[in-house]
Amino acid sequence: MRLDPEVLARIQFAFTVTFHIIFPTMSIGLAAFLVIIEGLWLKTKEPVYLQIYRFWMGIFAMGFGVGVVTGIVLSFEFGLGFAKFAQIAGPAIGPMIGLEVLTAFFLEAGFLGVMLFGLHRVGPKLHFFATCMVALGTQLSASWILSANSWMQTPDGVAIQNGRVVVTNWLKVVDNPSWLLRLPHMLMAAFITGSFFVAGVGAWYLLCGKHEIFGRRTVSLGIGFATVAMACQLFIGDLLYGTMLHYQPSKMQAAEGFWEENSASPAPYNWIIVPDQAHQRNRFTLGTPVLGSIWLTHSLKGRVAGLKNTPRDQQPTMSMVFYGFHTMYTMAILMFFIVVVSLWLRLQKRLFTTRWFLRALVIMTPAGFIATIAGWYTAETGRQPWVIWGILRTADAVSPVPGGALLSTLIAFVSIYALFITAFLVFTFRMIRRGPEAAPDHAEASGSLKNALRTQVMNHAGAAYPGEGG
Amino acid sequence: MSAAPFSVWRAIGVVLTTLLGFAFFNALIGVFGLSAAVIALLLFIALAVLIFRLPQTERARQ
Repeated sequence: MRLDPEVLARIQFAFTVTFHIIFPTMSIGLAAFLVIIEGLWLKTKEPVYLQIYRFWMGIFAMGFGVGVVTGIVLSFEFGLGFAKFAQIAGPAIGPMIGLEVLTAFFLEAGFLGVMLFGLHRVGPKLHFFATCMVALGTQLSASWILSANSWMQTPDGVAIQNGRVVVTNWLKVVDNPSWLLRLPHMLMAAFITGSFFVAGVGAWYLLCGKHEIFGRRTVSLGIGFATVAMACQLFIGDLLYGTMLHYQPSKMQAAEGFWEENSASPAPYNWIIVPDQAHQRNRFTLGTPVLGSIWLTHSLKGRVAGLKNTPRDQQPTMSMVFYGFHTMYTMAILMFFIVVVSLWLRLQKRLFTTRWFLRALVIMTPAGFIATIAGWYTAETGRQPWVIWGILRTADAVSPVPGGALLSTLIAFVSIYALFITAFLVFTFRMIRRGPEAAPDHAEASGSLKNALRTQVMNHAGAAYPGEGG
Repeated sequence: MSAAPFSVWRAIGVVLTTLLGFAFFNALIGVFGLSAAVIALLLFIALAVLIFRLPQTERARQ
């Protein structure tokens, strides 16, 4: 059997980056949530806010750690799987990755220790400042990565000399045409993800009849933040759609599932399709009549451009882009429905007692993660066959290494990442099951996984600061 | 309004509310233009904050 290095390199990067993106998304969302919670605690001095802070700080710390470890691997994969990409695009991408380390990582590294271990070692205002700096660091990190990735989607400020990218205008490289919309889109996604995560855990406590005050406050705050963030996300998403339609028409053509150069008038909105890329048609289509014209062209009879407008050798694979986009969009509609219902129930004063809604919140706990991953699949598969839009094809960016080397490292990554995710899920579920009263006031260095799983480690701080349990 | 679990008026109310919600969603996602989307966004956030700030004296668990 012949092992295709391009396919293996893409699978390897897709696997590691899919796994990785879960954790920064959670870190950005939870860090912002922790800033608000600590701010509320400083303002009101209500013990429940400190309890919420301590509980979520533990989960944030674990997610942050796994995020850093899994992110480092990606930099090495540029060399392992896409050495030609690193060689050609290094002058533009390299400094941005370096600046991420210099600004975001150094800021986070400087204040993370104070945040995790300093709750009773520094003053409350300094501790709050440290939490703010860590949250700022997570967002700065996202900013640089989004800038680098957006440059790959909509490159600007460079010239090609001797087969390599040469930067002619750094401002245009960083502030490329899609960055200023993709960055808030990603940040909102992280805030929504964190909000649904928090609200889901709070709802689970309320359904179990445990930790009532903690549960009510986290459900209220989580779904409250999600409400504002969801509305902003739909707004930003629409603006981004228009921008990407201008700069990457083939991506959006594939995302909407139309083949013909112009669709029927009025155009339906496709929900389910079975595309046949070889014959440039859909075997099966299920859609809502007229809705495509309304949503995509903002008119009652508008026609939607299809993928045949793009030459075959420059087309992305429609099924991947379409289902990535529609998974994200469907999750967004579901989350928007949940937040609207939450407003109605809050108005009726039944937010914490309507059991079907609490169950829905628990089910929707991973909704933000699913939507974020699906969104990134849309962005990355929709850019194909380019790795840098219009400049470098993915096939030309792959390292000259044998397929066997990529397969063996892929197996190694899958094995190690399986260990990571198992450890993270085991620790997180244990912390949630033990509840907020068992949360330590600072991160604990147990020395081993076995020690960390012992009950007394989790209960130690509760005994040390019994008055702050809420 | 009738105390019965289902009535014609309630059904009409649900349909009208759904249509209103759909129109609002379309406004928010820019179908009616950028200015309508900005107004819908501000309206939604203002309404959400207003409801969020209401005192939450819970009704008894049912």
